[in-house]
Amino acid sequence: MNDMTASTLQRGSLPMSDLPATRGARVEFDHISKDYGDLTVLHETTLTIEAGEFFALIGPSGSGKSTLLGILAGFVPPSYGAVRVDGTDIVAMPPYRRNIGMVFQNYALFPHMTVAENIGFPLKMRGCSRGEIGERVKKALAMVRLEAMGERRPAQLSGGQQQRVALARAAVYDPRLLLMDEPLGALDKNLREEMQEEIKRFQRAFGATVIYVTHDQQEAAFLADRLAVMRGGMLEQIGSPRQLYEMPGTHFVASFLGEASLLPVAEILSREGREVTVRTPGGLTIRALAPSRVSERRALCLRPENIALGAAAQGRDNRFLGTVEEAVFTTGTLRYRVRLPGSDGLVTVRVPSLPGIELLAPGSSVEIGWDAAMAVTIAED
Amino acid sequence: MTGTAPRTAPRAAQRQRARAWSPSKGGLLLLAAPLALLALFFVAPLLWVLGQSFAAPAGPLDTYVRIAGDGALRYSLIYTFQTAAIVTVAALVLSYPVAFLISRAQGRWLMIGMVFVLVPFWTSAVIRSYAWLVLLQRRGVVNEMLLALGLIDRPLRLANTDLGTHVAMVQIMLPFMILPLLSAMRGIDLSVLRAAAILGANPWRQFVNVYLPLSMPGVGAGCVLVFISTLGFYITPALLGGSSPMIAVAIEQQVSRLLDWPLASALAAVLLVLTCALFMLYERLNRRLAGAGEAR
Amino acid sequence: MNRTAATPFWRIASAGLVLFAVLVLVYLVLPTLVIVPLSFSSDTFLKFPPSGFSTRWYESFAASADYHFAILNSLKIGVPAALVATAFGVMAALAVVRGAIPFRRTLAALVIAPLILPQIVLAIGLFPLMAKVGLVGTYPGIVLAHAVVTMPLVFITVSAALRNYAPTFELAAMTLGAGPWRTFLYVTFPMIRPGVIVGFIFALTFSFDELILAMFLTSPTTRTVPRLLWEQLNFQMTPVIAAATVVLLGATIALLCLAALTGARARRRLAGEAKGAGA
Repeated sequence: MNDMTASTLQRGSLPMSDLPATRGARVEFDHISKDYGDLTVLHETTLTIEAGEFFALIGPSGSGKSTLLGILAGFVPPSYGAVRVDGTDIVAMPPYRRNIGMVFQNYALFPHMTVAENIGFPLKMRGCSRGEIGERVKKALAMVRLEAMGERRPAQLSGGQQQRVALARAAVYDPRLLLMDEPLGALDKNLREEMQEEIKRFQRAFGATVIYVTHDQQEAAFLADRLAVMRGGMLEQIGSPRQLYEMPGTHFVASFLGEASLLPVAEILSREGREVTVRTPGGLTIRALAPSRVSERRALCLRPENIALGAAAQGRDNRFLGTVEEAVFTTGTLRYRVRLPGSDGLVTVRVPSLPGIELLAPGSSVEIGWDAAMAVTIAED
Repeated sequence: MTGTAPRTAPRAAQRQRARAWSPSKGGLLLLAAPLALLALFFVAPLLWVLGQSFAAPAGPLDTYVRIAGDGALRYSLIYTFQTAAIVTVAALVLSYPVAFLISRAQGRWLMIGMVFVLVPFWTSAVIRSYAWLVLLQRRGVVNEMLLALGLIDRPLRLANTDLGTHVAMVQIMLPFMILPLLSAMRGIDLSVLRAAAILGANPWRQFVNVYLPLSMPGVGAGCVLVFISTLGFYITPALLGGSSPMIAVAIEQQVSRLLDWPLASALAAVLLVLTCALFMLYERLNRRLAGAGEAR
Repeated sequence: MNRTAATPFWRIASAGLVLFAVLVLVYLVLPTLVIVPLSFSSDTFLKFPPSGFSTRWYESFAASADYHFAILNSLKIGVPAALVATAFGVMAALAVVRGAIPFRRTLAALVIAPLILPQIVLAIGLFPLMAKVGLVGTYPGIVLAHAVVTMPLVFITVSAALRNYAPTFELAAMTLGAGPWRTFLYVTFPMIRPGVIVGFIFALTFSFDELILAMFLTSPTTRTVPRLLWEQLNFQMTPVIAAATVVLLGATIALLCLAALTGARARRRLAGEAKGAGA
């Protein structure tokens, strides 16, 4: 927003650059919080999103992710703190001066306007000439491959087409920051995957910073450079999708992103660099990875695809003889629930369902094993 | 990171309440003009009526004492209540089946049903009362037809009787009953009746144990609405008469014939308080109705 | 009640129900329609059945200066009253439905109250107050009184229109750069236009039909149609009243058809757009 003043002078009340933004805006949430009387929906949060980053906010409903987005867009007045876009505090600024693009969950396309009028609306609000609006709308329609649809009403379009119009409308005035609030929530699964690719392509070409809210962890992992898991109005963990999956800090993050088996930790027997040896309440001794602060970490997180079964378990750091309790075929994988020796309960194991491999019968004994690096200690909650 | 826990030295500026822009700040500003209109031309006159009712020269409660002591006025109040109760019950009995059938109708039948309800609803009460006068007077339509059919040999006295006035009032009030009933009945998911049928309820039991309870908010709202409207009814009773004037008619007579403003104001105050109490009841029922609608 | 239980007994019962409902509907509309044949009577008094057909009462209605003035007065009062009611009703609905205001429910009840309260109570309160400031018998006096009692009708229809769609549209317009006024002009108003029109028509109809406030607050020169009818009813019963009544009935029904058409068009439009308007 630093170069905002120059273009503001040129073109009236609202900023707009003529060329697509080459660089997105940097966003800082500085000790921001939101409460409604006694109810705190967002606890003090400090978070920086780098220029040009694709950042996803994920979490269950009520976790505060939409509140955070609403504060940035200007719909929700924060109770405390500051929000800076490229260094300028925007908290006191109304949404129509923030120059932020937003794609809504149900697109919010104006039903009484044609597709072209919808896309042209932000340009009209910025005082563009009719000719310029026509030209830029045409370009935007071409970008989302809806050249022939300009004169239609939103209701005459399919869900995917409406989604693309919403994207074009939010991007036509080249905002340097684009917010997306569950933009694919209303689409069915196949279309959703197709649109994910499209959004990713779009962001790369467009160069804006994108903040993307979703409750779908797969979508977030696919799209985002970094993501923040939110819970109960607080940030639980921030990192790249891979970091969060492989090194979840808490039980909540571990089970929100993908499938995980949790084993309790009774005692830490020894520590060697990042590797620890722990004992479970059931009496098993397990070698595992401890990224930091061992004392807080009271559980082990095991991803189902990281556990080897039968012959493949040979030579692993941890090996046990378990009993199969449940065996099911799901598309592409065989999924087992295996009871560990002692009283530590069950772990989930997933192996590729290659042709010719028989499903193990429930009740049969099987050796399972994993290397120390595959088990991560996490905070139990 | 809990809300009230002391934090490590947050900068002073950040602990101040954020002076944030809020999208709904204009609300009170928008409300200023309508509220001013209401204050001047609705609230002020009502307060004036209340004040005037205590302004009799003989003492603040004099007017109320006079109402209590005046047999005709006392009877007028009782008669108004009786009438409101009779009209409400009659309107409910007549409206329920109609509302039920319209709520289940579709397409053309729904349209016809709605026309039959809405056209009288929006027709002036003056016109409709006039029509009833034409029907019920001594040489009116009803008497002429009965005479022509030989059922009677002398015209019956129909106008200026309680029966005639009630028949006319019920007709004028019917839409006020049917419309709330309809809105409640439209909200009832008919699959609950099918569920009751599968569980062994015959149509009568389905109605009594399932449908009727679900339609109760509409029954309540309709009854309160009709009761309130009948309490303040002026046009029809003034034109058709009856064994006693209704309160609204009595108020008008006090003002225009006897010029007794304090007494008229006291009567109006009684009507105002009763209406307010019933209106609050109506609001509660309406809220419950809306709540049931949202939960759907 | 249910098709699966169509035993003979229940079939007869449901036929009885339909018959009963039809009779009630007849009771609802027929009395008013009896005036129509009477208005074409050639008799000099109201007699049923009329002994002959004539349009003489319509002719004398058309020739009556009293009715001319009254109709003109009703228009001079109804149109501005409905316009004031519409402007203020829209503002109140926007504030109550979309704004963050304290005592929302109480305020909504207050706005609706003038419609519920017996007009006689308001009339005997307004008359002395307006008499003090010289508004009795003037157009502004009755216009403002009618505006207060018809504002609830606009408030109710416009509130319903606002509740019909999510506020996301307005938020979207704001992110796209539209300030409050342009958001209203380009987004909110087009979305609620049918509700506003229907509310305006209802307000106009109500003002056209209103008797009691008119009785207290108009003078012989600002007298409205209902007041004129009422005065005539109290001392004569000629079929000219029937003719006037039929004309008014026709006008009311025409206005309501207009309102119904507006509403139906809006519903069709919204049905087509429901997909885009969800949540």
